[in-house]
Amino acid sequence: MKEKSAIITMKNLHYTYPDGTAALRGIDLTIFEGESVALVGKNGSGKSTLIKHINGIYRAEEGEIIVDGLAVTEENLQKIRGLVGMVFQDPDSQLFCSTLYDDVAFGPINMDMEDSLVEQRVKDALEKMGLLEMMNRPPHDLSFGQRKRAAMATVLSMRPKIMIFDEPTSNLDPKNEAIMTEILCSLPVTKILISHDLPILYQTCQKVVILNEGKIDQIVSMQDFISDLTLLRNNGLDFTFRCDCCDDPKHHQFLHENL
Amino acid sequence: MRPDIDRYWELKSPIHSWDPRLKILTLAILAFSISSVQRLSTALGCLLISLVLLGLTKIPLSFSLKRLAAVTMFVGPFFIVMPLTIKAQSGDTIYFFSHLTFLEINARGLLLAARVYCKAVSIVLLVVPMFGTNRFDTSIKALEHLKVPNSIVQMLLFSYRYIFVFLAELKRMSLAMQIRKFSPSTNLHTLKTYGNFLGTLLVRSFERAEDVYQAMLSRGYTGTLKTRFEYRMKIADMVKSTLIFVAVLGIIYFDRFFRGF
Repeated sequence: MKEKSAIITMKNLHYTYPDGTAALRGIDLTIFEGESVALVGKNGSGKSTLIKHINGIYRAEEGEIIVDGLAVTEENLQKIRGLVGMVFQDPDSQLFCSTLYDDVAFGPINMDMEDSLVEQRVKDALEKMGLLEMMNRPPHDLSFGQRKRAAMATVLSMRPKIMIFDEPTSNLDPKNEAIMTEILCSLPVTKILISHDLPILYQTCQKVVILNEGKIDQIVSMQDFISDLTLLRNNGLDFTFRCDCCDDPKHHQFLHENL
Repeated sequence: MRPDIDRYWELKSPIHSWDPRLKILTLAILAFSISSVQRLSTALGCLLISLVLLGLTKIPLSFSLKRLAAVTMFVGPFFIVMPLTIKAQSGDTIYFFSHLTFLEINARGLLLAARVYCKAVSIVLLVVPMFGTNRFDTSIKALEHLKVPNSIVQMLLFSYRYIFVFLAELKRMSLAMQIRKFSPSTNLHTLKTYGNFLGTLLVRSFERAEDVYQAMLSRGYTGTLKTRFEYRMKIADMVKSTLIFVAVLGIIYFDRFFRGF
């Protein structure tokens, strides 16, 4: 059987914010190619800080990160940013151009692609997100759900090997949430998801990395994670109002089987 | 309220089809020549030119007139201040009120205020044909072709893009105040509240700027905004610019050398 190769390796990663808050305190983590990993933990546990290191937005003050064989250093940054796509929580942070087309083309243009290839990439990404007809519209004219998908298209057009999503379904209505989940599941790349939405994590990820106060608390399989209600609650997660009945073991079992 | 100057960019007119680079350059020169005008009659002529250009755009007049409200607010007081404060010279016509003899109204001050107002209105009206007849980003990117520094172009583009987000933020915060029964009055509480309001808006704007910057970095941004706009200059564009340059020369000649009236 062919062994999967490590695509992200973090060794003894430390990071402290300028105000002295230690956000990451010795992270050791390996993510393999093709894996879908959920990054969970309470607010302030260091999830967002950690993902910003993978893309080189934050630079580790101690330790190292290797992404697809490349160390996250100044000279490799441009290559790494082509390999790692990040979808931020707030789509308005990601959509800063005057038209949707320009926004989606921003990444490919920065990767110095040919004009025809840029156009093809943009159209493919927008089509996948169901936004092709809106490509000439300003992003602020789109609905929130459309903006969320547009933010994803801006990253998809770069065809990264790794995609990181920070709360991809937050503030979405059930219909848009279902669309987003379907898209997430269909992406044939290595995925890292930060979310407090357990059903989404369950449907998209196989592995769960639990962060607590800047350290990795546990790495467990998704099945083990959702089976342990105490573990869920200790990490700021729970079956939400949509399935409050989960406290009843009988319904819990039902959810395991049908979610 | 949406601050979209380019709301009518899709209309078809000779001004809309003008190459944005030439259009901005030519109309900017026209605006500078208007600002240098010394005579009221020339200023009125400039106003006429601006109105003709505005008419050619086919953009509803009401859209442009709304912009004049701000100009009137700033320049309008000149009609009161200048006649009262301008230093009298020999030949000036001075009006007095029978009971308020300390109030001298200098007619030259009124004419001066009228000249300033005409010039200001002419220039503000020119903004519509200059920036309202193309998509705003096309106009701004044209500035880059005119060798305006990339950092200024980026600042303009982002300011325009995020005006909408900040307006929404402003609206949200204002609503949050209203639902907690805030009604402004002239007291310390109101001042404090507005201080906090502006402070929070500033902090949120800063955080937003940081988020946007990080999102840009994550997509390979290295400090320069790369664009792929193709502008094509046609003979018709040059003809339009030439006509405006002739008008500019006419303004300068009439204002400086013509002594007819």
